[in-house]
Amino acid sequence: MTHKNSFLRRHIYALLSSLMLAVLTGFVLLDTFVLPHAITSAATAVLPHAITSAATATTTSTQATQTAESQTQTSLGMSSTVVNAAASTAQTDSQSEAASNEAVVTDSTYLGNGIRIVITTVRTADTNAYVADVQLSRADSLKTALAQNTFGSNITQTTSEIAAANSAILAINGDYYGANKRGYVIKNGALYRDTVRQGDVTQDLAIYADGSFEMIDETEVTAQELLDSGVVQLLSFGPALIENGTLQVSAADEVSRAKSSNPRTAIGIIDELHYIFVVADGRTGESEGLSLLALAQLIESYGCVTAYNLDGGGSSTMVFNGTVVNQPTTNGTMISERVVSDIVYIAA
Amino acid sequence: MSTLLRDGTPADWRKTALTYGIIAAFCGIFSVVYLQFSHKESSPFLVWLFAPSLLLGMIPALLMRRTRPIRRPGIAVRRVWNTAVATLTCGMLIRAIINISGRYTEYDRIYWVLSGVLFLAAAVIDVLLRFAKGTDNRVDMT
Repeated sequence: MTHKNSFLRRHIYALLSSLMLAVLTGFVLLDTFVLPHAITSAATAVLPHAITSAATATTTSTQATQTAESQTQTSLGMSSTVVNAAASTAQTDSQSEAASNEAVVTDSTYLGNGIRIVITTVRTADTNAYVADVQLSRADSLKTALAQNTFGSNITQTTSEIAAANSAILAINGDYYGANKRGYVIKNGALYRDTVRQGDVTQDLAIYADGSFEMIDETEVTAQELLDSGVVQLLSFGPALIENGTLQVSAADEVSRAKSSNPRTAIGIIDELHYIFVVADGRTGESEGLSLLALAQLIESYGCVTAYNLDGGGSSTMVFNGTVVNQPTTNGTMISERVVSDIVYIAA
Repeated sequence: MSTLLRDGTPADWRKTALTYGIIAAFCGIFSVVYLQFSHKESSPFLVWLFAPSLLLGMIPALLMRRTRPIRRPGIAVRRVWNTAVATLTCGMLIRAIINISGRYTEYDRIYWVLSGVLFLAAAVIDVLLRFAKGTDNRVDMT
């Protein structure tokens, strides 16, 4: 007993300091990776100023959208019945309404409701990449959604679960905003977070109400200014892959992280309301994965003028009509979907 | 940790150096293994995880072996110093794990500040003890 007391007395400082360090570290790890912090639900987060801004942006861009719609309808190659019905909400003819709801769907294509999606699988750099060519007649068919319809940290669901909850035709994982405590978050016209993110990359992809893309730097513009200028979606991951038709990544300036081959997700725009979604497999025997440069070159080959890298690794997932298209990896190389904070999707 | 602090003889400092050396080696091996499974994602904090134990633990302990007893820090200072090294190592590990997972955290600041305070406290305690007790600075906190 005396020996035991002596041991405790002699080691009490070491025991207490080790215990405190262990408790602190345990809390930090749990709070970072596990404990969910729901801040607000997406339904209630659409603040008045956000609604106003989105509405204003929609109003000011109506003309451009209408022009884009007419151009896209022509270029989509859809049957005139489908195109007209999708574009015109004013039509009251019941026959046309029925036609607007009819979509021709196969395992890799969707045509209808003013939406044309064609998914192709390409093989590059020992990797399977899934490329979805998306053409829309309405800009608001391009949307984002939050896991559990809630904004917060460690609030997650799989891409397919979020896609199903939002009736998505096509979905890819988003920017995993929940992984960070800072950084602008604007989703569907609502401002959720307005603190500038820290780290090497502060460049975001802004999507305007008319469906156009623009790269912005969080250190140069406030989140409110973005909202006021008509930004309805902000994707905050990066880096930019292509800007103004020029590659923004190169082998020379890549950091080790970017050089490595990994699963990747990216989004790009070719023309008005004409987008490319790319998800590349990786970390499997079949697919090594892509470097950022390889990803940028792939997406450039489709004629994208602006393209942006989204959350990759185990998060990289593409879902089409409720089916996971690619082979997402979790916990290393296990083929299964990983939970994420948000998705980018197409819905009628 | 306190097994390193029984006394300030050269043998004890050698034991301290050996223990810190083992911890540094463990950190180095841990880093290599972690990086093997991190899908080529890396962090300088993981690569240099062994450095605090080596530079702030093992090497000072080896130097203390050769120092005159009068110059050696007391047990209180050594305990606070060891805690500072442990805190710094933990901070680097946390930062590395979070960075490699693709996240960004500000929690690591707690570790940097805490270890800085502890290093400073060790220095202040050492000076105060020397000032208060002259050459006899061997005070047992327990």
